[in-house]
Amino acid sequence: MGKENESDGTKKRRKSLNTSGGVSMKDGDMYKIIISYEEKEANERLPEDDSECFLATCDNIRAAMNKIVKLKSSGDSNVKDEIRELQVQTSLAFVELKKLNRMEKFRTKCARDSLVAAKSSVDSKHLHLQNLLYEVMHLKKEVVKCLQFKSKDELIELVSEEEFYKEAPENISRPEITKNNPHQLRLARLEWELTQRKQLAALCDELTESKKAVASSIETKQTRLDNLAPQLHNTLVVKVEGDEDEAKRANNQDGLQESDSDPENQSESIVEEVPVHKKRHHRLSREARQEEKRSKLLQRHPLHVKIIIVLKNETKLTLCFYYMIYLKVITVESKLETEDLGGISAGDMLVSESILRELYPQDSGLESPNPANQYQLSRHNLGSFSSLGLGIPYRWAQRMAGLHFVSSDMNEQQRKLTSQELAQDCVESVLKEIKRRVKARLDLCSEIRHLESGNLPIFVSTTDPVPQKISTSLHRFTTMTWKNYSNYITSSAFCQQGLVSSVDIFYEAVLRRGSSELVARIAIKPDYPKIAPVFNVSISPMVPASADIVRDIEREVNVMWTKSPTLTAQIQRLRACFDIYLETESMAPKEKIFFHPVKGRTRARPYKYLSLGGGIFIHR
Amino acid sequence: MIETSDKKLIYNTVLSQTFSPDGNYLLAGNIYGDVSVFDLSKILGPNKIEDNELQGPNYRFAAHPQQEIACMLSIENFFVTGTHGEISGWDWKMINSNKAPKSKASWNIQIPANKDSYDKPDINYMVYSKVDHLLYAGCGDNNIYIVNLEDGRILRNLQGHTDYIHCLAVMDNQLASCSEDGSVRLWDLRKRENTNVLTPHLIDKVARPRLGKWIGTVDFTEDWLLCGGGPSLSLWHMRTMEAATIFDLADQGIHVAEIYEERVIAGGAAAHVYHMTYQGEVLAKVPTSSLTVYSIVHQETPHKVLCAAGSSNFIDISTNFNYREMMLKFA
Repeated sequence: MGKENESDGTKKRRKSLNTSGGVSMKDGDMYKIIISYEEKEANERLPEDDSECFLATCDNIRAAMNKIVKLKSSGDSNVKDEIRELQVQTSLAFVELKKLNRMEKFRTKCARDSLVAAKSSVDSKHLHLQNLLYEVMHLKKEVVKCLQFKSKDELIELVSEEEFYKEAPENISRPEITKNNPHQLRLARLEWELTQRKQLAALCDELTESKKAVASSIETKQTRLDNLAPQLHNTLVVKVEGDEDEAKRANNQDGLQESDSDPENQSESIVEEVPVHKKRHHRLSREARQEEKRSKLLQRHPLHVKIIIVLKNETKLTLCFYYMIYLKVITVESKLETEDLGGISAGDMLVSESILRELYPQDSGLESPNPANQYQLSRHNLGSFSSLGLGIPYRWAQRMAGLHFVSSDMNEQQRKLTSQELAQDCVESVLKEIKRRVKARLDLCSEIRHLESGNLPIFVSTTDPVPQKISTSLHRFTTMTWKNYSNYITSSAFCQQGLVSSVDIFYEAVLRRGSSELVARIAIKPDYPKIAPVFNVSISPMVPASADIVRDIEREVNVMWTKSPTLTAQIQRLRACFDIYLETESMAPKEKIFFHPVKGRTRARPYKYLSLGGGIFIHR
Repeated sequence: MIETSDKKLIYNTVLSQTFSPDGNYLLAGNIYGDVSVFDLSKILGPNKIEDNELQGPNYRFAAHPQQEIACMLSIENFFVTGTHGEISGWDWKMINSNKAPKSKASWNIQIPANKDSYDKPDINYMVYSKVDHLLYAGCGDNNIYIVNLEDGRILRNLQGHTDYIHCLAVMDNQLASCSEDGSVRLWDLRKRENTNVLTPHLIDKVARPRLGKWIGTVDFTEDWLLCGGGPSLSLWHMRTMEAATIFDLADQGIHVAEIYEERVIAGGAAAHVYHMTYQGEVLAKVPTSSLTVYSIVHQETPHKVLCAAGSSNFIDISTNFNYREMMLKFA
């Protein structure tokens, strides 16, 4: 190739020399022109011709070569010129060969280019073809889908055609169109179906409403009837029980033997005042037989009054009133029957003695209200009244019976009511009070049952909002005895202040958050919920807390209420307080919203809950 | 039966006490906003009633219902109470009048509420400087307000603490303040700027991390500064600002302490009020009826008496400062 380049170079030079006289051109341009010219020439000429030309030239060269060989071997000296001539011719023939070669190369290149072009066009066509095939396939699928489509309307049961034309209004049925066009007919029938269904749905709603209204009216009537029922039946059963003959006999003997000042009159009036507006006229008397003085002293009148208060279906409170003939007081024996409430520790609270305890302030029934009794009993070495098992001489029972004793309470003395008035005034209110108490106690029972099982009822109080999201949990809630309670050091303060006494019911609640523990010893007063339970709080020594912290929490739980709180509300607040304390001390992750952990010289915590937004805690 | 209001008194806490200018009356304010007035001459006089019955106040009135009376102060014609965002002045004349329980405050000064907090700052402590006749009030918004009582204007405030102020002490032209943030700051009252800061909780021998870093009380003389709270009660030298004496007391936090006639009187969450020398020698341990003592006041004439009160319904009275003479019922 170097050779060729060289010859190109020489040719170029030659040509440039040829043209240099005329137009001045640059070498590159010249070269390009030559190339383009040669390319043009290559296109114009036929390759076959060139092939022949090539063969002819080759033959010429071969012939010339042979001739030169011959001439040289002849050794003739004058053939030198001839050889020279032949050499020139051969060289020229070579030049021609080169040209032919160049042109051939160019043609080959052209052919290749055209081949590539043809191939790429074939490729693109092929691709296009594939696209089209795919499209066809897709369309076929769509067609199949369309063919398989089933409209919902086919499932709808429609009224028959005749019925449709009979019932549907003209504007829906449009017979002039639908008679001929089955599609339009179908649409019309569907439209008719829709309107009909809409009408029926509306009718259905209306009927449900009216059904509800009827049901609620039935319910109100039912509740009214239910309310009426106890009045019709007996919420209050009053009976006089006992041996009537014996009472009569005693009565007669009484007349003969009675030598005391006026017990007869007194006793008569007493019985009449006994709280029931029913038949009763029995004379009291003393047994004729001279028994031992003790048993005589403790003798009851043969007749007694039985009052049964029915609260709910199963819940009944039976009260038996006995008159102690010689002690001259009324005693009460009571029994409460309830439906089975389950719960172990609840049992104690439903003992009737516990319910009637302190029905009125200070009326524990442990001592006889008749001041004379103490002397009488001690004279016969009988011990205290409560140990005799005669029933309990509540003051309210005396008042119900119209018995009036000198009381240590000055106010009571000042009220100068006659026994008649007193009794009338009392019976109703006492019974009301008893009912209220029993109800409250049953409520308390269910509350405690919830607590014992560990689920705290969620409730909303309008006067004192109580937070709902609390992390501290009620770990344990168990009953405890007065003895156990009074063993704790902190309890003595409560007892001294008269906040807690042995008649209360005691529970122990253990609250936990993580490993932090708080124990609340709770005294539930007999008059709950009128009087709020008293919490005695202690925090486990694992949690550092000063005495004032405990005191602040106790204050919050025991005192800071606008209305007497329920046990659950107090426990809820106690849980919140413990959370707050732990969170302000960073002993637990902060979950509550408060602005300052401590405030004021007392370093008080934000225990007061406001139900603003998601609920925030602020300082009192 | 015990009424709710009586139950509340079981959890009563007396935060502030003061004597009348003539020294014949003791006033005490509690967290429920009541003020009880005690006639000292009657209480300390010979005509004692039965021993087992504690003496109650002459009368009690609801000065600021539902608000803590955190501090109380006695100035010439008025006694001043500090509550929630409000400083109130009450005429001393009402003390003797029979209408006292119904009387109203003679004047009120409102402390402005911080813009980005919805509630008004508490006034935790007040001192009155006889040098410039100004009242200094340490508040819940971390500021100390300077109030001119002539016209009731707030002259300015001293800022620097990063948590609320517990206590203040003033002498001549210097003011000391201590705060929940754990620092004690000294202020120059003429220039009204902070001159020194003390952080006891950063000093190992004074700090008690389990009780916190707060400083509940401060007092100072020319040479010594007394402070305590979460950190132990300690006496600091004013010029070197180094702890000279650290008092070893059985307490769960100091809430009140002062230097009085070469002795240190201190109380807090402890069973006693302690009287000690500067060296820490205990002169007297007076038992207290409060779980935590928040207020100790004393006077020499006309009745020498020291009254300590705190988280209980009782005020302990000591006439010779060495033992408890008697207890008074707040209500």
